[in-house]
Amino acid sequence: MARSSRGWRVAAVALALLAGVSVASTGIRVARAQAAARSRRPALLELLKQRTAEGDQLRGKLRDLRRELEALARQEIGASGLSGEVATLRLAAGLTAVEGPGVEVVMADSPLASRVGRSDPRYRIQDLDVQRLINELWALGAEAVAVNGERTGALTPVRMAGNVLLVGVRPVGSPYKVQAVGDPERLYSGLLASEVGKDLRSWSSLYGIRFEVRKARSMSLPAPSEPSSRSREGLEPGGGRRSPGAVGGGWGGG
Amino acid sequence: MSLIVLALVVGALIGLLVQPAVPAALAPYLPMAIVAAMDALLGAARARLEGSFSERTFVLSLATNAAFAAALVWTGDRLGIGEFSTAVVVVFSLRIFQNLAAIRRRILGG
Amino acid sequence: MRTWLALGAVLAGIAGFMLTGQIQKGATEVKLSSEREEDLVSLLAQTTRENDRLRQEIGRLQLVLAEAAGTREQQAAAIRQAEEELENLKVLMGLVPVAGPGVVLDIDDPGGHIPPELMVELLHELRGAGAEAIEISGVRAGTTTWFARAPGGLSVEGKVVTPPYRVLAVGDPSLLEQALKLRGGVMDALNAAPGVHATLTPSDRVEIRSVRGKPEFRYARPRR
Repeated sequence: MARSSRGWRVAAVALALLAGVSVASTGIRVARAQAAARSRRPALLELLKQRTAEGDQLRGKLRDLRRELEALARQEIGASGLSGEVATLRLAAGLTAVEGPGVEVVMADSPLASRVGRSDPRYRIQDLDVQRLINELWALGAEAVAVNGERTGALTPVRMAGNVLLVGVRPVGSPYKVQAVGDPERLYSGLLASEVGKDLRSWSSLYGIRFEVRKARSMSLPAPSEPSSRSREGLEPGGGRRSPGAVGGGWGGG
Repeated sequence: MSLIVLALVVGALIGLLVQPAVPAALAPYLPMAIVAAMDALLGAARARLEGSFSERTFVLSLATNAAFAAALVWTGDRLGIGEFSTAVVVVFSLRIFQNLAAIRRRILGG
Repeated sequence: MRTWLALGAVLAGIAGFMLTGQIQKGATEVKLSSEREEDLVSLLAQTTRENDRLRQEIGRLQLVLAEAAGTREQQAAAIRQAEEELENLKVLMGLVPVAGPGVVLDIDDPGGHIPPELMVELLHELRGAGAEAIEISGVRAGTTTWFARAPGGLSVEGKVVTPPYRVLAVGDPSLLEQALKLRGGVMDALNAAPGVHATLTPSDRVEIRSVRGKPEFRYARPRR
């Protein structure tokens, strides 16, 4: 130490002091930020879980009420047209649980996704990937499609809210299981030969996302979450009438 | 050398007690600068053990390391390459390990 | 003195290590959770809105059940309800023409640059914003609507449509407009395609006259 001049020694001590202060203040800042994040997130998650459970309960209640009314209507009109037609249309609209053969597609974010940062979409399954897949399934004659057990259709689109994939208003997470009822052979070979199938396969080898297709002899797809009634007006040929309800109390959760 | 370690501890204590506000603009670069400083400190400890410690070298290496690490992260951010900070951490961690190994060999007579 | 120094150095090294690890972990975690939080908040708002609508609907049905006290009246009310549901389903399935407030989206694409997946995204976005009936260049959309490439334009469920496209949607005009005009949303994506010019016009009355046929089921069976 005798070698160094007094000036350098003072500088060294001052710098060390500064380094100490920096370490402490950064430590404090990070700890505070973590604490703040910890305190808000669970509360939000808890609230969200509560609301989702509440929604399930409400949907169940709504289904019961509809059944009750349907039963009453059936008593009155027996097996006559009305409720039969309602049943057929409900099936067609994807509002009843169905079963049948088809294909099952499993997609998952790449295991590398958490390492490369979530801003990089190449390592994650995006809403567009799921939308394109579903589009292809319909094109190949699929009759019913579900994503992670949530039926998708006219009322339940697939979208992304921030980083979360929604089917209707239901958040679903990776891995995504897309089930489609239809001709298994046609769905299977068609999907693998399709543009979206090729894209997903090449991404799976490039980025490590998961993409698997398999035929299924029999699958059960659940009924979708019941929509609340939509209000719009029917258009009689040659003119329209306006329904009393506010149009665009629209379903679907904006 | 012992004076430096003492200064570091005193500095940390002051930081904990006073809790100075770090400017938000500076906050992302400080952790990198700290990693660089850690490297310089261990380097100094190693030099001390090897008998080649010089306060001049210590001051210069600490200052340039910290400044350069922060500058690299800043550049990475501007260029939109978030991985820059990872690279900086990797490089300094490697050096920290090397210094540690050297220190260990000295002490444990390896 | 020497041992002391050595011990100090080792401790400093360990502390340094723990600190770097801690700082890195802290930084990424904070970033993640602060971003995720926004997602959580928007999800929460959506779920809450949906629950409110469910509650309204439950209230309405309970009223239908309660208002008609006598059995006969109750049955008549039930039939009315079934009829109403039938009407709703027919609109949803695209079996009947509809009219109502909504939006008109005109897309000019002289070069034929719009890919089918952009139309798929548009369809999902419109549905998400509560569109009750959608028509794409004269083709009524339904559950199974799909798009594909076609020479000179797009294929909508096998029917070739050529630009300019006109998309009609019945629903809350402001909600629909909001959803499409999000920054980085469908309108931006459309107008970013070369030569494409898309205009969105809210309207008090959009008429959708096209209809779909009833879907046929060969593989799916209802499960009771």
